[in-house]
Amino acid sequence: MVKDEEELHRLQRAFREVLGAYARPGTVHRVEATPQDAARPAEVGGHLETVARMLVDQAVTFCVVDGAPEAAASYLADETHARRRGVSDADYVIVLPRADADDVARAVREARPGTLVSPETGATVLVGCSRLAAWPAPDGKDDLGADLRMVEVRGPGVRDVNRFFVDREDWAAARAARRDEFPCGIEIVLVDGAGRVVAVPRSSAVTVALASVQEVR
Amino acid sequence: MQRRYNFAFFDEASKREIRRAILKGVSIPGYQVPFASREMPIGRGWGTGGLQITLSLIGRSDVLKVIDQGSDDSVNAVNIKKLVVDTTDVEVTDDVGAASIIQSRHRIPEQPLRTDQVLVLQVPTPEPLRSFEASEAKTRVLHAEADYTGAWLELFDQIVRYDATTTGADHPVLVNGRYVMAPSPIPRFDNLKLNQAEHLTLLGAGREKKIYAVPPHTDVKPLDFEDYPFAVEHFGEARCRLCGARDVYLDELVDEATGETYYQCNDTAYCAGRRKGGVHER
Repeated sequence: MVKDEEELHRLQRAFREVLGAYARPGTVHRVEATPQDAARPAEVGGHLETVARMLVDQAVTFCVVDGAPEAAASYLADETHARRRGVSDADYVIVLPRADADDVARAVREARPGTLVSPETGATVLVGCSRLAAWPAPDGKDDLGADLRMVEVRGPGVRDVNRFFVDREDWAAARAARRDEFPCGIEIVLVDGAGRVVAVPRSSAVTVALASVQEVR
Repeated sequence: MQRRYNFAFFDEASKREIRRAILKGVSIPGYQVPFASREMPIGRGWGTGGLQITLSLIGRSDVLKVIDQGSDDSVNAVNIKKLVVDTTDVEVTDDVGAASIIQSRHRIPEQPLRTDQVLVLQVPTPEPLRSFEASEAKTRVLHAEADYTGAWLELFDQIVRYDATTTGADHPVLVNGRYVMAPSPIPRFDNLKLNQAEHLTLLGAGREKKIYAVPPHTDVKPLDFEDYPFAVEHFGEARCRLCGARDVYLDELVDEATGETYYQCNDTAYCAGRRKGGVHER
């Protein structure tokens, strides 16, 4: 629920950024954090909460995937009034940043693909991660850590190829293993702790490049 | 700004529902996403689909341009701008280059749009198979199966009757090699502006309760036959009487006093810009 006028505008700005991320898959956008709330469990980052609030409300269902999802799921249900469902039934699957590779793989593997007649019922999976980075770096500053992997994205919204770096690639392998028949499929939205957002709609072709940061430099 | 309303008229749950539909539309280019079209203080069929998209997009820093049949000053465009400004206080402009959101009925501006601009098109009839199949349940299945016989048959029928495809506007297009889409009643002249465009295009049909999208850099191919290739409107050697432009979409008018036929740019802001020297020669 929107609590005040400032939140209304914060969610509008977040929507435009996320829309930009969907329209140009693989490009990095920024959302602002939802201000700290004493009731918010630490594992739900303020930026991930902004994206969740922007999309999730009483008209849709959601699921939190994490080793211990209860506190986060209760908090988001209270805040958004959305109903909780299992991974395979939820409209929005929210993977917390601390979730391990198995949880991420399960979320992406089991998320609902929609149907050929109603492909829009395919789920959206929000994946929290530690670090996203645009490539090439827009301001020329290259402070990428050695643990990041390059992801290449092609398809609608991409002129040739868009590249970004991310600290986790578990979602990409699970996505490739789904073998959805387009237009069925899922959308994946990566959100890092600084509010960077990258979207990978079902129409995108994704390759995790073998190159690490050092090899690309 | 009238503070009796929420910012941008809608309650936040309505915006959220429309935003979810927009994102699914961008993810499945050309696919018509159903949405719960809201009651608006403008009659359905008068741009409520585009207006609902615009109101869900717009923020305090946006600059809005609205055109109707190429004109910034027609009744439909003026009323839509008035509603948006009354409930948001955003700046409006006639200048394509200054706008961040451009809502349009029946035209895509002559001046190419940039990556940071969003084009919102108002759509009366979003279903390209409707004249072939009246049932919504059945057209949804036809789209699911990519069975576009009806769209091809309609063009074929026109060729048999008139030796040419006679779609004056709303010529069907194939988006991303998958969905046949109604591009809204833009003239054929504008169809090619959707192909591999720099900007995002969002299409809204309020009465029919559908939202769909063409992302940037997406293939948009008008349906045609090898021996009857798609062709845009040509105006021969005609030039705009006011600014002298060629190779733009022209309105053919008749001077009632003299009976003389003359031409004028359909895109009035483009024409005015050229006369002021602000738009480069095409």
